[in-house]
Amino acid sequence: MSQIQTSDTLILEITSSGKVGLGALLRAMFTAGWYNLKMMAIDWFVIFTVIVQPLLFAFLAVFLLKGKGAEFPLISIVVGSGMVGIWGGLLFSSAFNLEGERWIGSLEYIVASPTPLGPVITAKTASNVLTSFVSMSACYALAAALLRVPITIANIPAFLLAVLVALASLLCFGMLLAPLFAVNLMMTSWANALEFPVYILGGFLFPISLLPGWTNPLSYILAPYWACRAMRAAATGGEGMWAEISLSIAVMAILSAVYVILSFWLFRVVLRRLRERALLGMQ
Amino acid sequence: MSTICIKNIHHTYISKSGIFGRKRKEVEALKGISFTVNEGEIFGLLGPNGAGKTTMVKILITLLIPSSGSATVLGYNVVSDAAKLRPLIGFVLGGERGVYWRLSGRENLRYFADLYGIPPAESSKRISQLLELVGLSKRGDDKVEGYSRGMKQRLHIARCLLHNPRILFLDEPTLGLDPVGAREMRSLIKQFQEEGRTIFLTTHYMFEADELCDRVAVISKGTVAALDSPRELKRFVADLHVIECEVYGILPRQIERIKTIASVTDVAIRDEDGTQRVFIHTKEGGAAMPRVISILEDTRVGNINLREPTLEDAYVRLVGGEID
Amino acid sequence: MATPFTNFRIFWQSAYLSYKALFRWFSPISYASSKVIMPLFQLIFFTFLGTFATGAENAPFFLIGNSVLAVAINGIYGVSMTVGMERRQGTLPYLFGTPANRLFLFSGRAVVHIFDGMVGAGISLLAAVLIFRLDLSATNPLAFALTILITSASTAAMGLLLGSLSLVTLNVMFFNNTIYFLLLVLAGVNLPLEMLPGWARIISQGLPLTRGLAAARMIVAGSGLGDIWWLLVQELGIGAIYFTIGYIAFSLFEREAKKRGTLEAY
Repeated sequence: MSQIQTSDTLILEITSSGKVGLGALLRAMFTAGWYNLKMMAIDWFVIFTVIVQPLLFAFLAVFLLKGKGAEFPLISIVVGSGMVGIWGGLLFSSAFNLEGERWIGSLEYIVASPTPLGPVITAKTASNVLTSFVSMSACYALAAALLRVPITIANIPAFLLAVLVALASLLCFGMLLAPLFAVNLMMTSWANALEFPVYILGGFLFPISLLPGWTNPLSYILAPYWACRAMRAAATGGEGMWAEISLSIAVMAILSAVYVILSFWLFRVVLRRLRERALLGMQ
Repeated sequence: MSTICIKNIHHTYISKSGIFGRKRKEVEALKGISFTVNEGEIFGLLGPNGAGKTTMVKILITLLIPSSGSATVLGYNVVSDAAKLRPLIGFVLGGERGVYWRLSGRENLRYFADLYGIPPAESSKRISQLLELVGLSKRGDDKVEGYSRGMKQRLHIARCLLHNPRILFLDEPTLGLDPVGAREMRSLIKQFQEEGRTIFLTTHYMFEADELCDRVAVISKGTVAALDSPRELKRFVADLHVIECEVYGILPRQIERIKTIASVTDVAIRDEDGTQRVFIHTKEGGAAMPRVISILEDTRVGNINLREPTLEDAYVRLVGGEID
Repeated sequence: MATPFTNFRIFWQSAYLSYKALFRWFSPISYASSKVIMPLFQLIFFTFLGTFATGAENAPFFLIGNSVLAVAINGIYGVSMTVGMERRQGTLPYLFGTPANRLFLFSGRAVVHIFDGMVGAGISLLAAVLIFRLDLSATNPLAFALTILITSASTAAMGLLLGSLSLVTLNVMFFNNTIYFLLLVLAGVNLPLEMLPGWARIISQGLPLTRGLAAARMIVAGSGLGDIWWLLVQELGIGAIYFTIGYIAFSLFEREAKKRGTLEAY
């Protein structure tokens, strides 16, 4: 062990409120997301959620729904089972990212740093969602090539736009979920219970018009529902495509704003609770 | 000038048990703690397990909100000014948890450097220096899962120095380290003091507190039992002699009999590997020795000696024989 | 030493411990979440998907399939985690240190889950009747209960195999999830077997649940024990095969672990 050069010149990028500046915040988020990817790449649970499960779902859905013909084309099935995978990834990462830090024992060190917890967790969730998306796209391309089924997208630019907005709004939804799961530590066990309701309400593989009318408002406040609608519209094309896409995007924008505001408030409440009850660490 | 100022801190928590979590019990971990820590000193918080040492540390590092009372660190209130205080302090909560096992040591430091807003131009250099300081430069690029416990603890030390904090909080910094590792850790802590940092540490190793600390506070059952320099605390037991013996399995009734010897004031036992160490405080020097030997007649005794009191003996007296 | 009585006791003690572990693992809330709500919404999802795809008249197919599948939540996740938990808690060395009969020790871990799995199937079936008006008027309740019991047992045997696997790999959840989803897709739960391609049909014949579920469907349609007993025997046989493989794996692991001293390592 040698002598350390105490660097008195060290100036942290911190504002007068004690929080990191914007540049430093973005850097911290990038590092958090990148390292999360590095750690996740060897996690089999993630591999299941983003590869095995959507593939089995697509298999099931293709076999069941292939008789529907033009009413529910193959691309709709692909988009729907893709949403299944993305929702699974988003749900479990937002439920466990925060709890995982507690398990590792790093939550206390993060909370005590000048970088707010919310962005760190969001960055990790973002990296999870992005992985789900990329790996699933690759899976479908592969499946299409192997099965010699052409996957046709009606309007590629519109589809890319829909995908981008969808991912962003799903991420905002994840921002809301993460502190929600930390409100009560028992909540993580509810993650299982929340998986299928969103498959149902999101209209991923069958229209929500089949559901009892009183459930429709629940679908309307879920970003996954609109994300699926936007992507499906762009993929299948036809008249009224842009109207459908613009409506979905507009609703997603509004919902995202609401999610983010609620998320900021919830993170505050939750952190305060954890600090009062000594629950940041695990003893 | 006092760097840390603690006024009448209470902390109560609710412990739940039972299948439905319905058996609630209020536990008062801290019952009115007050003291101050001066700038540049090494301050030790001593006490048996469960005395509230870690609770106190977590309050000071803004991770726990006390039930009542107030505390300031560097003039900032630990509850209302938490955000402003956080960049100025560094801490290690002891043990090997809290680092990412699937990342390398260097990546762990990079992550926390970014969380503390250290400019990228500085951080690489600084991380290398710190890895060097804690003796991890050769293993810095290996995944942490392959590190020994001591290496993980040293990585934590490097982490807490990243942002060059003026105060360090170290909770049981040598717990679980081998003797050589513990000694290196102590010399690092002294070095931090020489660099002008204030150090607040908790430990239950008395010789460690004696060697390192300028002042110590002993907390027992949630209150401060004593607060002074190790030298002054030792004076507290200056009237005593200590018979220290190594035994292999002492029986409770033998302890009770030793306690009945008129000159004996306290008896404490510490379990070690396969043996026990019994500390007998007596007011009349070696005079009690023959009685002790006769009580221990049918017990295997390693060595037995009479010595001057140490800080540990002062501690034994303060916490009433409860060592661990 | 190992009298029948001792073995019986080891069996029930093992069962009792696994029951306690079950309740520590599943607090009442997470029990409700994993055992009631999750299967319920799964049932709803697949029933809507199935009727959308193939017509409302097929609702009973999906309702029965997903109700019977509920036994697999205990059989697969519950059982394998009970074994896996021993390892996490470090109690395995103590277990292997005892002279207790391994067979009873091993199978005792599954027994509570077999009955709890039946409860799970019952809850789902009740929901199917209440929400989707599933018609059970032609069903012989005793024959149905027996079928569920046997199916629950054979999925629990699969769970024991996965549990043994959990002693050597940390990724048991990956295998659990994969097997559970294979059941969902290939055991005739949501896709009639005759719709499957040839290779998938071969896999489905090797899975637990496939025959038990087929029997359950026949009973709801009005068949009696006389018509389905052969399916049940086959289902039991499949369970016995998984149980035997699981038990051999468990024993092999014990021997290997003792030799290498890796019982606690993970």
